[in-house]
Amino acid sequence: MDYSLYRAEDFAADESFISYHLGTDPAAVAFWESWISHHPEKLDEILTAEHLVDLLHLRLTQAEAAEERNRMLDFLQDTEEPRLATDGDTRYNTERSSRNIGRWVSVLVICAVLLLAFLGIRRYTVREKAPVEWLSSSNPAGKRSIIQLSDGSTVTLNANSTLFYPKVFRGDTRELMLTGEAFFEVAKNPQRPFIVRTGKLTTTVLGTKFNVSAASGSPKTQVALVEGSVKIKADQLKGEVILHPSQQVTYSEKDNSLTTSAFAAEEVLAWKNGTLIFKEASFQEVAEKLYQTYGITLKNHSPKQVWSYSGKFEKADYLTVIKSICYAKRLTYTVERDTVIIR
Amino acid sequence: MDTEIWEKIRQGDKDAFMQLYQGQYQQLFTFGCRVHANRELVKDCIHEMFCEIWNGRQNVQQVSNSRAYLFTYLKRKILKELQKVGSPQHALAPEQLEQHTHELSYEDLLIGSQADEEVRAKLQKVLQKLTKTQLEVIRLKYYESLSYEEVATALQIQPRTAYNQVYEALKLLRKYMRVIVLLGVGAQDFFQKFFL
Repeated sequence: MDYSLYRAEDFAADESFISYHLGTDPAAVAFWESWISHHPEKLDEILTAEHLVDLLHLRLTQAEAAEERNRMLDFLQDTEEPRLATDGDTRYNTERSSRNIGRWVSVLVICAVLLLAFLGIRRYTVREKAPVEWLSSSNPAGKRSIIQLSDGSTVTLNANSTLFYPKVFRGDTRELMLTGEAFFEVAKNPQRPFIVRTGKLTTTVLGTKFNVSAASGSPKTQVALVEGSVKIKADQLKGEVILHPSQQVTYSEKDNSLTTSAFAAEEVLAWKNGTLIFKEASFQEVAEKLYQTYGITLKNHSPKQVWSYSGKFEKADYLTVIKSICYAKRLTYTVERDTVIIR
Repeated sequence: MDTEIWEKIRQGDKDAFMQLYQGQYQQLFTFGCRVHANRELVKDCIHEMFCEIWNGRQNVQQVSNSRAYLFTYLKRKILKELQKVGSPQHALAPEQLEQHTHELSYEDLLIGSQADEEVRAKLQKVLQKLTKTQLEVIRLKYYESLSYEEVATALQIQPRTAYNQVYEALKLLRKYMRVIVLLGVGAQDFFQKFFL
């Protein structure tokens, strides 16, 4: 049966769909949950169908049921002692703020590094009598950008990321600095190695396509290689790692180690094409990805604290994403400016 | 299993309490509407009932059948509420009330279960457009939760006919639904314009 041609009235008249909505048949529930997650474009028809079934069954609609449930939860909250008043939301907020502190610290570090680099390059260039002009490009949450470098290389810079690069490459190398995540498509020039510095890691390439992810505050830096070959060196480690295509290396600051592994290009590079992929993601992961991609803050005021959400969205707006998630989790949401509250 | 959940509630386990609430809510609402077709009143009664249960959780006697316990509780509560309201049409003895309820048609129940006056008027109009068979078929299919096979047997028609009747009725009802759904979509566009 081709359900993708179904309209609300078809769904609402379908025996298996009704069993799914009323939760009377586990097999139907499993089937429809999966089907609906793969057809987000049918969501409006599905919601109308559920509304119809609710109406004829004399059930409350989901929005109303959620409202009543919240009324009950409010009542429970009011009757309980204050010491129990913790929820996932406050936990999440503290995490966010500690991450922000981490971010500021690393911004300061980057500034210091930049200053030193500046001075170093100045000394070097003073001799050459041609000052190098450095530029920086910075993206807030929810913004991606593409930067063209003077040598013809292209950098796709992810949200929450900053790239420092010279206006014109001079000297024997092409060096830049990154915090956050970026995808590099490097113009081939074996005479002038292309070097990306991220914290304690240096990635050197001759001409290649690769993704560097060094989120500030995160203890891990990853370099994933799509094409060509790159050389990775960690400051405090002797020796280098040479990556081959489809390999990635993870640098852990904690153990000061480099680990090579295979990577799923689709997942690692999803951000570049505006694709969102969740794999059994916790609420924190979902919230962080949505903040990164759309710059919206997601709060969880629902009773559901343990999440395991899987789904994939291609170039979707954030309401489509949130609608689908809420649907799968049987939750509702409200929008307040750039904050979305799940209820 | 039922006794287990009540034991947890007695000990103040909120998750167990909400589990009971979630598990029973819709059935309680449907049942409540059968007792008295007034959406808001039924919602309030269910809410108050659960509040009372939570507040008095330490004194709840052994409950072996949650459903039966809650249904009886709710019915008493609604009937009490109706006596309290005291308007002439409501000032009936409980037995009379029950009889009165059983005379309500599915149509009346559907309309009565809607809170908004405008929505009620619209729904009434749409329901008038349905044929007697269509109404009977959707009543058996949804309200009585029969399968198409069972509906067909009850009305001595083909299952395919039963399905077609339901489908036609839904198509008409959808038109009425569209008003509500459009309202929702409009609000969303509004948000997108302002926040994207």
